[in-house]
Amino acid sequence: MKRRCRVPDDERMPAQRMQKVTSALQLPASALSGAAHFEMNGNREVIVDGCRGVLEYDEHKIRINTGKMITCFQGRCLSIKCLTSDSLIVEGFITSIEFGA
Amino acid sequence: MIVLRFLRWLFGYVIFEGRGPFPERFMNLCARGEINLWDVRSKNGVIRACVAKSNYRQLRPVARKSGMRLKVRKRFGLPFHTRKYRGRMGLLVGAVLFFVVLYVLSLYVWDVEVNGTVALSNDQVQQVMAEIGVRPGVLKSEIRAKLMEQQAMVALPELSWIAINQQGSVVSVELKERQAPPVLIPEDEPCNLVASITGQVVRLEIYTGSAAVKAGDAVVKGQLLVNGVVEDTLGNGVLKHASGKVYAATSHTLNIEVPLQQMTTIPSGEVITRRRVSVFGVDLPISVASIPDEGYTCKMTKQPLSIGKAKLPVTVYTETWSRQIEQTMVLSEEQAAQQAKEQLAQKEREELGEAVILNRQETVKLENNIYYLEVVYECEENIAEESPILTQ
Repeated sequence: MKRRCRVPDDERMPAQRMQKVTSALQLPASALSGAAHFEMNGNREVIVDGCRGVLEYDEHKIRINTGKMITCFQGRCLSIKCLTSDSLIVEGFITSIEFGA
Repeated sequence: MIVLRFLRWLFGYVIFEGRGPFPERFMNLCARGEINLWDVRSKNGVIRACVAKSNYRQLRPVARKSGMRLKVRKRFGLPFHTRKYRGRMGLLVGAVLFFVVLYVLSLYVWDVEVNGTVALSNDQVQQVMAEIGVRPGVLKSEIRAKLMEQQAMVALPELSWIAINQQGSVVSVELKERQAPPVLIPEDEPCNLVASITGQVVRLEIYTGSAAVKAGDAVVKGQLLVNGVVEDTLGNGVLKHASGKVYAATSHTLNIEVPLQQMTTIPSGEVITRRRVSVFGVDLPISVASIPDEGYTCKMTKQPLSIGKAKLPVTVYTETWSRQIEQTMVLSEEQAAQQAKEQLAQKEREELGEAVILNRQETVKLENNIYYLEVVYECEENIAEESPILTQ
């Protein structure tokens, strides 16, 4: 019999509670969660709000820390158009975006 | 976007290259240290980015922390351009002074244009406008168009309409002159027509009244020609305003005397020239010479300066003072005759007026160094003039 990984109740509650509050107030899902915000213009430009740093930077791959997860942009001729303390703009020909823990 | 690029150019920015083992750490430290980078590219382990000129120095400790070696590749922006002229402050001062002077000059009126004059002259209108405060050199803010239009209408009764418009530094005055009303015949004022001069009646044109004379009658000055008292069908006398024309053959005599010896003034050849420049109405003398004493005549010319069609508020006045000396001139008989003819022509226009000259007889006499010319005219003219009838 396979042993299941159980998440402790006290850790499950805040996320569920937050979801209940946002759905009751009809707010966007990411309004209270503090997650990064991505805005894409086709596959040529991505504006990322909530970025905490660049982990890997290459013209074919850019990996950034977006708080609870790591986002990887893959493509060609990738560059960072603008970099500030909490946001950045990636431009180039983006072929894929991966989200990982 | 264009605004952003302009601002970046205005404050200056540099493109630099960074080589080292941890370019990502370098970028993260820049972001955390509020150093904004843009146009970040990475190739073969070398990152190339743009940073504002003021932030470049802050990159050094960051580069040291992350083990990067930085090198400036290009510099862009106004601060780098003006650095070349650091030792030439005069250029900047001159440029600022130019714009200041241009602004100050634009606050004043440079020229006053007058359009629409027919009988009035432009100089006459400009003189009146100058008296009420519309002239070159006046502040544009001091021109109150409505008030000054009313003042101009009072000063020039020949006007029926005037408008004062400001176009930049030129004040344009548009006007329309009044058309004189026709002369009305006062029908309610009774009068007779009497002879203004002695003559023989040739023909009559009577519009109102009854004729007191007929063609061929000889009349003296003041004699009744057309009666304003007319009898109606019942025999009652009715007072009318007599009107009409009575043409008569008249005689006029004009005498001209021209002395052969005359005192005239001729220029001696001595000339003094004085010049002054008027800028915005302020006169600045150019010449040192003072106004000469008596015995000189002055001729003034003015030359307004302009660039193409644009008039400048600068006028050059030139006064030419030439000394005159009196000299006795002896005329020949031909010269005296010529002068007499000129004087006679002037007198004919003044005294004969619209009379038609039928015949003239000239008599010339030279006596005591004086040339006498006597001309007797036989004319035909309208000799009727109104004489009011006193009713009380």
